Amino acid sequence: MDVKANKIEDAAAYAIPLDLTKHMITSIGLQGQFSLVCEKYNIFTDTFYNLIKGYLQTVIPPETGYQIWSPEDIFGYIRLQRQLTRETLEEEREEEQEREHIEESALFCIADKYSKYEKVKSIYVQKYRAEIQFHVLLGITEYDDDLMEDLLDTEYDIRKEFDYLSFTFLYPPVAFVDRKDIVHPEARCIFSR
Amino acid sequence: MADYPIHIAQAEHNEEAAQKLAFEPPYHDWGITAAFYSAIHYFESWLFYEGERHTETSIPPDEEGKLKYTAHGWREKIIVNKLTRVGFKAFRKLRDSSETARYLSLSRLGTKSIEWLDRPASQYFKPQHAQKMVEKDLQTLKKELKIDLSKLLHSLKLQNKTPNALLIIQQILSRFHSKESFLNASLNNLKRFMSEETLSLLRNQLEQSKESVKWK
Repeated sequence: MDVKANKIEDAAAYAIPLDLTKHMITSIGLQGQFSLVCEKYNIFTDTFYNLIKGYLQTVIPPETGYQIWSPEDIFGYIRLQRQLTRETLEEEREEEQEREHIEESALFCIADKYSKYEKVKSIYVQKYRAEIQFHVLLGITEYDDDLMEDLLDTEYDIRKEFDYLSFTFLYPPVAFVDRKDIVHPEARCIFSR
Repeated sequence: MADYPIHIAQAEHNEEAAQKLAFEPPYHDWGITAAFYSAIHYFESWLFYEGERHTETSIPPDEEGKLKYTAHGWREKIIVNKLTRVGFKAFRKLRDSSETARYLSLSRLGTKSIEWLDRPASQYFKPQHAQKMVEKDLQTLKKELKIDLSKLLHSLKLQNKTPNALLIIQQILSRFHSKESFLNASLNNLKRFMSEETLSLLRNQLEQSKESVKWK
């Protein structure tokens, strides 16, 4: 076993015997026999085939082929892949955090817009799939068409302003509401008076 | 999924029910629900000639292949993107009122400390509220969706005459806001996007339907 492999945590990396390299290079040109080589050295065929194929396609120019092949190259390639994977995961995490931050800002902005209506008693929000679902609870005992016109104007403005997010809105009437009463674990109150 | 004529037939059936119920208290609250289901089918008939064709089959999937939105959510996203503020408000009012009329409360939010409405929907909505939703909001939506124009175009049975029927109907619907504006269009305006052959076909079909057109 190559001692360099011990420095690499990746399970796919530590099983490359130095004397295998020649076989591997030969096998790239003879893909049908590659599994036999892997079997001989007790290596997962798919893992190594993909690694070496990727290495040859991305690191070694086609015209040079196996001539510059070395164990260092393949380990370098594995390290590069691991680094890229780490960076991708980090980017995804940052994007997720950014998305959450944007959503939170939007929620407070939306709560602020509805809070100007005295009849709005509280606003609950929950996520479902890619939707942010709002329940704007109204303290009224009889349908109020003028209020509904105003609320829908506000809703339209919100949907246009935050068009990169997806919403649904409902305006149920309530006699009384206590913000602590949340049965749905993902529903939360973002406004209450 | 239903095609255009089925959606129109169901929309008109529901609208008739809405008209009756809205003027027959104490069942006027069901007039609101019937009006909403009429609105849904009018919308789906309109969508049939849009790129999406149907709400439920056009919902985009997420990265895992699951539907990204609920049907209501996706439909309202299309509405806010493609209709005017007036059309959007008309549809949303019908939907929200019908939800309240049917359910009164939202049990998923909880029941311990929320006192939901203490009266049935027939008391929460006055008959005049239901009547306004049928006579104003539903009609506003129909106008916005150009139902009169799409009905006229569909009645011409262009699909039996040309393989380009869908394209012709889509072109006309995207350029005219009503049946009247189409029938009274100038010939020059029509020639900008229609061939002589298509115009001739339309003339013939409209004549058979006994529709008078300015550009005939």
